[in-house]
Amino acid sequence: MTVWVAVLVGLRLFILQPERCGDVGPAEVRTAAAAAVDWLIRNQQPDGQWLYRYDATGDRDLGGYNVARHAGVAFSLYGAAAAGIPAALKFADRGSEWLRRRLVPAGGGVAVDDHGVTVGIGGSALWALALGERRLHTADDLYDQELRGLGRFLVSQIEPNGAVAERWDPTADQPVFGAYSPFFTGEAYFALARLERLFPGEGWGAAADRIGHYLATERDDAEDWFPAVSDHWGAYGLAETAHWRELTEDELAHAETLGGIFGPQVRYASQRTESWFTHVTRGRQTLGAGLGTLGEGTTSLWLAARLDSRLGHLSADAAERSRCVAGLLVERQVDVAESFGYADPGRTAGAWFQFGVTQMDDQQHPLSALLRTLPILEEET
Amino acid sequence: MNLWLAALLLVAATNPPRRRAELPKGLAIVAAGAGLTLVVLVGLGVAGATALEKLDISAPTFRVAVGLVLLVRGVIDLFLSPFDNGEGLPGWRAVLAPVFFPVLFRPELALVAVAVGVDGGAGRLVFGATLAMMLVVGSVAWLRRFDRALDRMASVVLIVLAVDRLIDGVFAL
Repeated sequence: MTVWVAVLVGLRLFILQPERCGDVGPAEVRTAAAAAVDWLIRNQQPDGQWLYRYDATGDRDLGGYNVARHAGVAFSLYGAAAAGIPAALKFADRGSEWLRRRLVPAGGGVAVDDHGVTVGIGGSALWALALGERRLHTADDLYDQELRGLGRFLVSQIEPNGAVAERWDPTADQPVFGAYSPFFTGEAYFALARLERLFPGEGWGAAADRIGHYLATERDDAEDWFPAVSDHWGAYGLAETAHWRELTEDELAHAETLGGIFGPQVRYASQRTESWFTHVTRGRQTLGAGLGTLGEGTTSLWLAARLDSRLGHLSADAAERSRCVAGLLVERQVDVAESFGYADPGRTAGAWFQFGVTQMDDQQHPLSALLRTLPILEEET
Repeated sequence: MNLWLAALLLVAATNPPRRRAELPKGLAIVAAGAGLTLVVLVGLGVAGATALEKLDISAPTFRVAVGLVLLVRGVIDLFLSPFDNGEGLPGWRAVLAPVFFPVLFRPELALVAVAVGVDGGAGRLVFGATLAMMLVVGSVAWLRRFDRALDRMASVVLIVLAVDRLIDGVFAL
């Protein structure tokens, strides 16, 4: 009997902690997404920049800025507009205008300049994604020239094996070889795959395929990433590719691998509460951005599974993890009532905080994750 | 989980050669205890999915737990001889103790039954658990004495299966 008690109590306390995912439906998720959009609207400056980092406890703007995150927010807002939150479009466009003013000729196309000695490609890749999202859902060709220019720049950053150089050297107008980002590669992959979907026959798909093959077969080893990159952008890219062709065996295997990276993180994150016990045994609750990326990853796998039946066995689990992330995001978002407990409700309502601090991408990634979970929830109801 | 993995898990978690050393000699009593264990295991397996849902435990996390318990059990069985379970109840009540509890109905077997029920379904659970209990009865009927080599072999298989369950659970979507 002692053994039974020890095993069952020990497992419950240390291994089988409750996964508190909550139970949310489309209405709650849509409300949470709209609240995040409202935060991004309220906290955008007239020139298009957003409040970057804010300490709610001390009511302080912590300053700083990041071009890639700016473009990422624009991407999420265009996604919100596509999902039926129309106010998002105007403010995403304002963010895009801020980016357009930073364009410089690069690699036979254009890049978003971040005013560094060398320029990270994240801003360009994410703005291409943002404009691609806009183009896909509005059919408006307003930014087509910029979109294709960004695409040409991204293609110029691809190395022969499919790796994507993290930075561009404006002096030599060439990629900085040998330096790679865990996320820019997937962003470029997704952007070029989206371009193929938007403008078939222009050759974007071949470039996307080179990156996709590299991500599926070499990247983690070649770039020495350990543990393997939790690459939500790569998952987006796979789902996007599945829109215009069947996935290869390597890509199918890569989708499985990504599932094995996202899944345990979601389960672990769902076991974390604000209690001292889970702080000790599971650590603190993750950033809104971190949790959001997991939802982006699982929803992308769900979409890929819908588009390619050979991934059909992932569909139910991807849906379950996506629902879980959405439930956690809804629960952890500061709602309007809670925001009145802070010095500046306008900077807190609709946001996700860790240690009292939020950053613009803490809204970007959760917003995208929530929006992409909506079809899953709507299909079930 | 396919049929053979389910059966192998249930048989290895039962470890019939080791149980042979712990069970009384009466074949009818052992058979009755095995039958009772089978019924309880199937009941657990069938109710497992609902229980996990009520406890907010996902199937992959449960697989991790099962893997860990099986790993510990396998290592203990590999290096230690069977324990003396003490005096059982007299007569037919021995079906309950020691045959059903504590010898056959053990935490690792109960957890495996739930895992097989959740991941493999009731049919595979019934097949695997029936096979395991038949082997228990067979080991009492045909093994003339406790065979430590067979016990160790089953323990090694259990360790391999434990690692498989752990990996499958940790890296599941």
